Amino acid sequence: MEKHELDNPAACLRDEFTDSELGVSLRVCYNCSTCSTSCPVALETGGKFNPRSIIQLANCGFEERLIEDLSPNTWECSMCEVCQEVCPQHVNLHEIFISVKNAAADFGNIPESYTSETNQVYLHGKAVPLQPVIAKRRAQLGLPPSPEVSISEIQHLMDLTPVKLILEHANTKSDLSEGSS
Amino acid sequence: MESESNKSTEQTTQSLQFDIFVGCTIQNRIPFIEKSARFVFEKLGIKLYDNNEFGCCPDPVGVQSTNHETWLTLGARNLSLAEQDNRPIVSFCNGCSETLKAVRHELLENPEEKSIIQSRLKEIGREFNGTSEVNHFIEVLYEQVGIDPIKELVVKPLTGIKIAVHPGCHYSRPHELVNTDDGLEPIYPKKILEALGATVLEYQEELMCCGSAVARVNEDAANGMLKRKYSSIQEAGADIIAVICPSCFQQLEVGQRAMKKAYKMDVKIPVLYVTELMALAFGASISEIGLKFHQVKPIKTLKAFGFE
Repeated sequence: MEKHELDNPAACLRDEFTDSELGVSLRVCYNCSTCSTSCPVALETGGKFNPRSIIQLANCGFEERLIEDLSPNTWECSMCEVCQEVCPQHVNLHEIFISVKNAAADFGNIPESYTSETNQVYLHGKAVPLQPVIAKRRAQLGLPPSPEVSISEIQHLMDLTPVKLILEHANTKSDLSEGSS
Repeated sequence: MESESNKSTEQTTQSLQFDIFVGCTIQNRIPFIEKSARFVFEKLGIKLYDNNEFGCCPDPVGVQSTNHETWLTLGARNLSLAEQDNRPIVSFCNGCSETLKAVRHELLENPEEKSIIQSRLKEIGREFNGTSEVNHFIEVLYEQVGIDPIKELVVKPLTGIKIAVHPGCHYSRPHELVNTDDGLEPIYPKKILEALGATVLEYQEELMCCGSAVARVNEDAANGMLKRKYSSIQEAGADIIAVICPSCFQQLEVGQRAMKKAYKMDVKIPVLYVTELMALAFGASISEIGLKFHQVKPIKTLKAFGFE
């Protein structure tokens, strides 16, 4: 894999997991598995994807495995947030999984549907750009025209974040639709 | 009694005004939902203002998972626009309302992050202070309008229609961020539908996620989730599935075809937005709110219950 300009994503993630509020949240996990028994994706994958294993790996310094091997593949998370709701220790699984996915994206391991959606936002200011057929439908329904936003503002702001690098880098990677495991 | 409660409707709703945050999916893919939303809010006398500068919320799944900082920055821009209007936001989408609430929450809790975002917004001449509150439309209806004023507007009750409610995940979770209803057993959408005269069913898999995020990377798992959901809804005997999120709406419509392909399973249950059902109960015609644009056609079912 070619080296890209984002800092070592695994090392950054490790720092975040050891030296931040999120790290404190991670360490109170006592492995009860309530998260995994409530997870709809764990149910469907026979536990191949399950929230507890991600928390365990994050807790034990296996950041590379999480973001480079995608094993387990955090992108399979449904983001239904039930795990966080039922966690007796109030572990912030939501933010931990976002951090894992962000680091995987920095590494270039990001499914195409994510980069294409974010790219639409960059190009049009909207995740779903207006199509002529919908413009016509809106008029038929008596709705105001779908407004166009100031793309320059959106792009200016996005350029202040690392997203451009992620989008450019991801273009060089193959589709990860099935992850790797 | 009658006139007294009518008076209270006016008092409750006249003062309510919001910036309407339509969201990309409703605005540019399924705009008939926006039609029903505007119809209902107008009937209730709630003033909605359009701010044409709102961009993508951005998507709490797609954009936040790609880069949290980007999500935070663009979310703050939207909030700054509402602040400039000096109005709270009402969102008609679980995803948009989660994003806007969560961004506001995160920035108000973290002064350091807030100052970074403020300096970025300054570059485009905007400012975030966190003064505009964000509401999901269900919250506005249940908490700020209340059930009685909704009941008073019903001219065509949904009597006899058996409805399975799919509240969707981001409406009430993570609860500490969105702070509405109950995190695991939300009831507001049910109470609203009952006020319209509908029969709201209990079903086993109500909490089951629609799986739209899972479908991006693992189609089999997403189909399995939907199969559980639909089976449970069919078992309960629902005529209609009611939703409050455009992402769930699309997934639960498209998923019906996927069931045929994956499991040879027949599912044909119309999916309607709570605002569509409200509009019908408030007297809107089927054509007026564009119900013919649904993929799973609801017209036959609705006509069977006397709707034109």
